[in-house]
Amino acid sequence: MNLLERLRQTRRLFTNEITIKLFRYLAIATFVVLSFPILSRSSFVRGLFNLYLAAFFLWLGTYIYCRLETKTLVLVALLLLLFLPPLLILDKDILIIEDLSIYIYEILSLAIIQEVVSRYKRYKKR
Amino acid sequence: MAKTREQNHHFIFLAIIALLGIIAPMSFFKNNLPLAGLDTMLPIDIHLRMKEWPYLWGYFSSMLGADFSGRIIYLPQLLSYVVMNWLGLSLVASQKIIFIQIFLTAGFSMYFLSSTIWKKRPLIAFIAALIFMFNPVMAGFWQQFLSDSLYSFVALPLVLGLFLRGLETSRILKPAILFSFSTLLFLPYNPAIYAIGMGVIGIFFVFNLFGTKDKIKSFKFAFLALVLTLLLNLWWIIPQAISLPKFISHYGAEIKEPSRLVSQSTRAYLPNTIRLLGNSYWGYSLWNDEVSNYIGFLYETEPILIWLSFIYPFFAFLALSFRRRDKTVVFLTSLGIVSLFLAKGVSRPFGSVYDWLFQKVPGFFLFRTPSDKFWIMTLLTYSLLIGFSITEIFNWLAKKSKALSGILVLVTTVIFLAVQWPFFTGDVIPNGKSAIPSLEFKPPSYYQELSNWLKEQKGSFRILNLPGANRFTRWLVYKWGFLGAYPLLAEFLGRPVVDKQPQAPSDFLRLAAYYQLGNFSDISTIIDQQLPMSKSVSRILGLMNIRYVLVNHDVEWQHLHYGSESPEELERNLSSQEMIEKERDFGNLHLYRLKGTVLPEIYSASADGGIEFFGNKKQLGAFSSFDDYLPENGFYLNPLGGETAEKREIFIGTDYRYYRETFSRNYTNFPPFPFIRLLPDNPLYSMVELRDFYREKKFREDPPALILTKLDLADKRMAEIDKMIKTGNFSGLAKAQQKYEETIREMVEVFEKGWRSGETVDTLALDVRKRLNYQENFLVWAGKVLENKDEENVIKKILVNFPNWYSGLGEFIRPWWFDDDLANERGLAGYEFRVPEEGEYNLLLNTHDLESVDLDQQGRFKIEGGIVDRSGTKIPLNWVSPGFIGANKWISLGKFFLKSGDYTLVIANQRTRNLLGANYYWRIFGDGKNWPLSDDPSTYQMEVERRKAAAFYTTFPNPDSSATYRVSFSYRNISGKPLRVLIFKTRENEFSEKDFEEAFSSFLIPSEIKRARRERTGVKVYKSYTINVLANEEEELIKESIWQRSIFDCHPGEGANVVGLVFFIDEDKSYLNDSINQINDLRVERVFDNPIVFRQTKEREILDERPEIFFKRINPTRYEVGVKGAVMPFKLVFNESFDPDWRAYIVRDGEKIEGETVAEYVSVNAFEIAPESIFFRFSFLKKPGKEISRGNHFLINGYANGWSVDELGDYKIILLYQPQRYFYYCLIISISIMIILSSYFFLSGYPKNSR
Repeated sequence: MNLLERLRQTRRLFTNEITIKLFRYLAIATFVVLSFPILSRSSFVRGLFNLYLAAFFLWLGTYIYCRLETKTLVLVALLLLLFLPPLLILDKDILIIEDLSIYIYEILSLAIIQEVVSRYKRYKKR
Repeated sequence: MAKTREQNHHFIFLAIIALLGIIAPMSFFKNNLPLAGLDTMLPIDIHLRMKEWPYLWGYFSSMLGADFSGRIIYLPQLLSYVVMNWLGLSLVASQKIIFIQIFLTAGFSMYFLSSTIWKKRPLIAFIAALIFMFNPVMAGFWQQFLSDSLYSFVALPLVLGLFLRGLETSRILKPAILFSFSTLLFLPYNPAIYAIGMGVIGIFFVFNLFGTKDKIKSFKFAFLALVLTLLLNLWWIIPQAISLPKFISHYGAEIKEPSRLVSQSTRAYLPNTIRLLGNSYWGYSLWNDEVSNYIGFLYETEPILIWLSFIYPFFAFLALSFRRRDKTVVFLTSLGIVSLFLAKGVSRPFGSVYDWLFQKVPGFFLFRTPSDKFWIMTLLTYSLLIGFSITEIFNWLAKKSKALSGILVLVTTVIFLAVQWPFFTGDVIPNGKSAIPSLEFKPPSYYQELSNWLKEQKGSFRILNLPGANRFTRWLVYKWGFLGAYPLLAEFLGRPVVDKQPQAPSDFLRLAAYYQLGNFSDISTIIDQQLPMSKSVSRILGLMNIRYVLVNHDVEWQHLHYGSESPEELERNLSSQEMIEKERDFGNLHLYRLKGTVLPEIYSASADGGIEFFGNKKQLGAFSSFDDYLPENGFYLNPLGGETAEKREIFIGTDYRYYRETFSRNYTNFPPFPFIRLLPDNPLYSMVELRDFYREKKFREDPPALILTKLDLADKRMAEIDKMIKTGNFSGLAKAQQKYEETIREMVEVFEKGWRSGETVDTLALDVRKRLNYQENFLVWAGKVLENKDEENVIKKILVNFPNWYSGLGEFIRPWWFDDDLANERGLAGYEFRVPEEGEYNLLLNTHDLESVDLDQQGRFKIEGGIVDRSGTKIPLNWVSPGFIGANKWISLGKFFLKSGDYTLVIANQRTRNLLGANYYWRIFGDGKNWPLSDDPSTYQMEVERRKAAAFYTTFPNPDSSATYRVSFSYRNISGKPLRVLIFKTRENEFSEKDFEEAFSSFLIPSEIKRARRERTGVKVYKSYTINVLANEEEELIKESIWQRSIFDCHPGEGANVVGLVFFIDEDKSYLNDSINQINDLRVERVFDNPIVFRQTKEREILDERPEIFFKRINPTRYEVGVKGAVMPFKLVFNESFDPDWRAYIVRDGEKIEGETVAEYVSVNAFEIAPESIFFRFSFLKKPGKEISRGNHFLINGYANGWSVDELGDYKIILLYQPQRYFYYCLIISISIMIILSSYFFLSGYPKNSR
């Protein structure tokens, strides 16, 4: 079997429906497993939870299963951005504010990555 | 038609930008006075500045001369001031024009860039230009009055725009010429921002390559543009490149200090950075009840402004959601995301990335204040993206209703301008509304009187200004309303004024002088070594060519951090000095004159070798206090070989080994990725261990890093053991203990290995010491276990397996508190020294502090110990004083024959008593509670509720200002925030609670009170909270529930009447529990650390064969020296800071030095000829004669340049600063290229855009 054939086989393996399902469960399981250390970190009680990982899973999920448009992701992030001023005004715990801004930042970064990836794909097709 | 409409739009928009660009800076000049202070260097005397600034050596420097290659960047700005002065414009008018230029450059260049990126969309360009002109980052810069930096950096969009246009057009040469000329507007006033700006251009180039078909043409253009840019900028590139290694070797260690990175990043956390408020200039602090940055304060507290500050990120990122988002928008947003990530520095998320870059990437230390550097990238992308977003909304609305869209543009423009209202009211610069005084420059008339008087004095000399600031970048506050780091006096008086305390490499001489006069503030630099006070300061001043001492009553001396004395007290100190007398008063400026020998700028030192000085340079004070010391003989810190050995004196200063308590390394505690703090009981804890294992492997070659890793590991192991003992789980205890011991053993091995090879630094020893406490703690617990749990077997095992491993450390490197005499913390003190050559040395001890010593009934005391060499051989020393000995005397402890090599004098510490006794009590300020424990009254418990602030303080009984105190205490943190500790001092006889509140309130009062105080404006208070506070930094004690012993030394300094210790908790929201801490066994003792020197004196021949020296300053980088009648080799001393780039050339048949003799120095047979200021002659380009070998160029008098001159007879020596010669060449190349390119450009016309 030459290399090309082997690659094709691997690709088939990854695009197969069972594998996709497996990945879905794996993603969820990883999320659940990782939530332990996240929840056990000392800042949990002070902050909300490890938001940037959550943002990553949000993006991962949407990217694989129900693709959200970049626009939607950005608007979600900007909507969340509007929660920052009241939190600042109410002088809330700085860790909560920082966590939330990190979450927004992550969603924006992922929106950008998504946009760049899709543009790159289109560019390659051309 | 459409084209005309577009042109109309352009015209209207540009007109508005021009109008706003003129209105805004004009509002700064309310009283039509020039603005000076903070970080802007206003040219008060443009003629004087032209005599100084076009040169790479700063004669007027406050540091006895310094390399000023960095300042050459200011040349274009300076020249524009010169031109305006020549046109007859006043200083204030010139400054207005410069400021208008800054605003207009910002606006027009951004307009240009935007029009280049998005053609035919003037609205984007207009909004982008407005944002770029008026935004929080710029406001921060104006608050700091960094107009010099802004002068250059606002041109980045223009440079970038021209670069992009060049990539677009089909022609190469002309666009490249235009681009390279534009780079002359964008100069590295700050190298880091410059590098980022140039990086942005590079990124745009790469981005452009994706979209372009003719990649070869793009590369050709970029290459040509780069070459032309390099040639045109050669005049600053080469001088900066030459000075860079020097700069890094002098200041590198300080700049690279990671703790700086952390402290500078605190403001830059994401919620601030994302709305352009992360800039540290935007921060504010409370100076008593006044805020330092009024606008920054409002932005942090005013709800409406908090809301409005979010419009920047909102509109910037909105751009990505529009359908018409093109690849440029995606690219700009990515750039914005990346720049935000960099600008936030070590804050979350993934702050360790920045930390890694900082530590590993060479040169990355330039970006040590990330938020103050990466703003240029963020602002550039934000401006363009906001312009795009608003235009998209406008277009979308325009389809529905034209009127509505028009209103939208108007409203958004007004909002964006209104948010930045301080730009138009003049509040954006300090104008007296905040604690910082107004920038309006209105000096009292007596400055001019003094200046005129000084102009009448002949000859060159320097002036020492008291009180001096403790850093050369430190602001000085003048009561008449000036605040800045800027060398104001030098420019006023037209003479070099030493007004900043040392930080430069060869400046211990100034330190010694400042110290002797009671004006020393940088405790950290002198606490290592006590200097005996002497009345002979004029000898030191004379060495520095200082003829006058100016006591400046205008300076807010209390603002000088960490303790200067008041001008009155400084004057008292001066009058107690020998050979210094009052000259006269000019208003608040009191002038004193040196009666003793003032040595000229250039002279020949005594031919008979002078004094050789070895050891700790800070001991100069000790050295000059010997009665038989003659300043004009010169002394050498780095003596040459082959000197006439029989005629010299060797003086060895010893280096008192002082184990300073380092301040807790918050930096290393910074949680690394992934910011999850796993506790030892967590199943995933092994991951942390695994990471540590790899980290350790990586650092194997780096002993300090490895030791730190080991220390961390030991910490964790001890936490495990602690937990086991607490929970009564003994099953794994033996194993855990074994692991711990292993870690410690490995650590000691590395430490010893490092120490043997001479790599170990003090701090390393300290960290090891800190950890040693754990052993003590460990045994304490073991004892408790034995007592409570009756687990005898366990404790036996522990004791057997716990050998006294630290005995392996060398005797004198061992920290004193771990000696046999641990019970009273007596131990040994070590004085290290190096003997240059064998001989008999007299060991001298200074008796300036014997009060701490436990004298016997006859007033005698003992010195016991020995002199130990590196191989461990010990020459015993047992000395008993004959009876009472007065203070400040040098007494001989005996003569010792020593071979050359390294030695340590080890003496038993004198017995000292605890000054506090058992009956000290704590005073409380704030919301704290404090009581002795009922079961152990010697332990004080200190409790502060969570989110509350409190301080517990006690004072030392009858403190002696000249003593060094050793403070030691046991401490543990039960819960919540650990205590911080600070030593304070005050001149008041009583330190009432009110005084305490004044000094400490600004960082102890909770934010609710801060808010309530907001309205109280009007009273100007220049004090900062560090007033009266001695310590350089406060230290946060380690958050550990185990007992730790903390020990540190402190020096109250002259004039301190009350000295005390404060434990405090400041308001901190990040701790969940109430802060509970315990303090036990607090001891305050005087340290016996009197100076000790070794001295060898040999027969001196009285020789007075100095040749006659005539010298003349041609410019700050070139001196001509005439030598007449040299009958024997001599040493030429040149009183500018030592720099290897100063070269001396011997010219036999040169022209005579002509001019009027303005000063005579009889003691050294030297004559000064009236100086000139000649910038350039063609003869300056070549080497003037035969160079004196560089091996004969050495450091003399601790700071100056010395040359051994063997040439006899009459001749001329030319001294020149070599980089200046290269600078002339570079300048000639740059100017010629400029002329060639511009004539080509204008003679052949500019090509039309091919698209």
